[in-house]
Amino acid sequence: MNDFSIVLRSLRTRLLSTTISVASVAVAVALLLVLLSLRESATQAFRRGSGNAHLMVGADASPLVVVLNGLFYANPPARAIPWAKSSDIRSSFPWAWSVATQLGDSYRGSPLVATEQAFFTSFEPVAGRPFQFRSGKAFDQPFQVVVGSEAAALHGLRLGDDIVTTHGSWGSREGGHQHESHPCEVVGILGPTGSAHDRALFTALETSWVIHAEERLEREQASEAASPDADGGDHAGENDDHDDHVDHEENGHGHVHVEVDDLRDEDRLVTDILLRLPTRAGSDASAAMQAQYDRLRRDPTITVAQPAQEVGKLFAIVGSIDEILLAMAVAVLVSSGLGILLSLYNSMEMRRRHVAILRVLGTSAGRIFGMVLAEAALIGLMGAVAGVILTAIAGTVASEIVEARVGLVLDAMPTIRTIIAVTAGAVALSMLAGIIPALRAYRTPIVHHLGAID
Amino acid sequence: MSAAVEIDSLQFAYPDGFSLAVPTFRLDASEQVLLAGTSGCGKSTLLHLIAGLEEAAGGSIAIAGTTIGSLRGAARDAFRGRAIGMVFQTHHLLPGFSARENLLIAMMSSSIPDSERGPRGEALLGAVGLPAPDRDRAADRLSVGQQQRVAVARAVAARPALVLADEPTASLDPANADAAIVLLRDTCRAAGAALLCTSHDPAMRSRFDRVVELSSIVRTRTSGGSTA
Repeated sequence: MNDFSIVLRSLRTRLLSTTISVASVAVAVALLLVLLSLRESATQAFRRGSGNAHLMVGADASPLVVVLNGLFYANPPARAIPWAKSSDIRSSFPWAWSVATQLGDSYRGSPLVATEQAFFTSFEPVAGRPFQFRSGKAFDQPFQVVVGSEAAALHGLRLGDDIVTTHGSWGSREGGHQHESHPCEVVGILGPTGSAHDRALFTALETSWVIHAEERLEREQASEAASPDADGGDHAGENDDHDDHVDHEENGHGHVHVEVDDLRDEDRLVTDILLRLPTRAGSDASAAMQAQYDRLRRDPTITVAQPAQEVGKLFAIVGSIDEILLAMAVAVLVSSGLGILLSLYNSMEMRRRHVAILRVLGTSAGRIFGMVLAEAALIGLMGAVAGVILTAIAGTVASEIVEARVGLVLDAMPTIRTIIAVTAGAVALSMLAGIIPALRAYRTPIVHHLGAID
Repeated sequence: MSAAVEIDSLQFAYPDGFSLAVPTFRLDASEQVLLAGTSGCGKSTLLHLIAGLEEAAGGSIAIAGTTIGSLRGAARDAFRGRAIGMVFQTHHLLPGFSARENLLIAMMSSSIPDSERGPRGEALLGAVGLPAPDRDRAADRLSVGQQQRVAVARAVAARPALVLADEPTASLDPANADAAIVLLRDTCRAAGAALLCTSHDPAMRSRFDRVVELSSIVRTRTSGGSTA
């Protein structure tokens, strides 16, 4: 028998009250952990995904939209940058590197990013951590695709698979015009980066350009022919090797084929340009940043964004909302602390005789104080542990729902540091709540409780 | 060998005006004394002073050679735990703990080695006649008579020099009261502890070799100024 076993027994004797107190702490801790972990993983997903580009140029209305669409694949950009303009921008300054992307197509709801090889060699999705190929390699010619880790898992894609891309329709697995005449071969699968890029597929700019050039020609042809069935030509069976077909426009309502060499400048649209300024070794900042940002901003036909800054702005907006949620979770935790206070305080009323006997048997007032405090701390600790378990269960379910509905991958489990911090907080708060009942026990007048029970 | 209790010029006063003075009193080691007196004459107060649960205004009380007034806080509590056993009118076992555990808790302040505590508890519970199956039952589930037995065993569990019994028979009928006193005396004798027992019941006087009238050693005064 020791003080600790007396504490445990006291908790067990008041099983109902202990259980309720533990449950209320558990719910509060779980709520806090889920909110913190969702915030952590959302913050991380965004902070990570901004990558190592200093500047980003798009044609969407605002810098934030350019970043959300161009780097986080929120929606296909509404407008594109003409080839001449993008060439101008890319040659207007000795950039460390520049990468153009063209967004708009998809594969079964996953965004298809048409880009250049430099996207894999120069751009880093998470600053300091370049893309890694889990298998295969980057595309080196049109109609090859590289698949992000989550997209590969989602669609079960492997090296050598042929896929048919769709015009538009991100986030939806149906609808959209399918580019059936140009299947693309999977040549590489990326390792996970923890960013939005994991959900995407990547192909050469020319893949997208050729497909859209053909579609434009088909539309033109159809309107020239003014024939209702001109556009409905069956492409099936014709989708073998496009290299064999050099013919531009076939007879009547036939299919059109465009080669890379035949692309006109008006076909060569890009939606975004990622830019990095030269930096000194070991530094991420560039002295020329502000000047180049200001210079590009003077062009009213494009929108310039600093990805890291836009992500920061986004968090300033979202931050005030999740601060309210966090404050609510903390309020729940505090109210469960008050519950512990009340339940221990009431039990002290019943236990004054108990305390008096322990004192007579040689337990000092200080030890009594410590025992009540330990009781409160144990309730907090058990509640926190139950809360962590609850979080693991609820968080897994919640993140599966979020992933299924929104396609956003959130890590439901908070970091060990957060778990330890929240657990320590719950224990500290419980002990704080235990102080008043403990003082009451400490001050229990012994002799008043040793007489006959009347 | 020093006396179990040695009181010298003890002074005590409650804030309400009731005061108590004991010029001198001595209880030898292993001696058993009945402190007789009517209710409200200060018997409990004197026991609480001896146990160090009340603070004397003057004079001294030595328990087995240790002046309890010189010990403060935790040291006094620990000393009480190992040097003094107490039995109350109602048995005051710790609810939620078994008879066995009540004895083990009483031994927490003692110097008895951990390995001997279990066997000692068993032996004491056997000696007071608590059947083995009842020793693991929650104390508050035992019959009144059984609780009394456990309380007596617990009083000597820590090998105290002194057992203080405050009206231990007040809630018992005469037959059970007799048996309880016999058990209390036998147990203290076997444990080598002195016994100071209070009672207002004249029938108890014949049970003790030495009976001290409280009025003969104590001067009490109420706020009215009358002396008892």
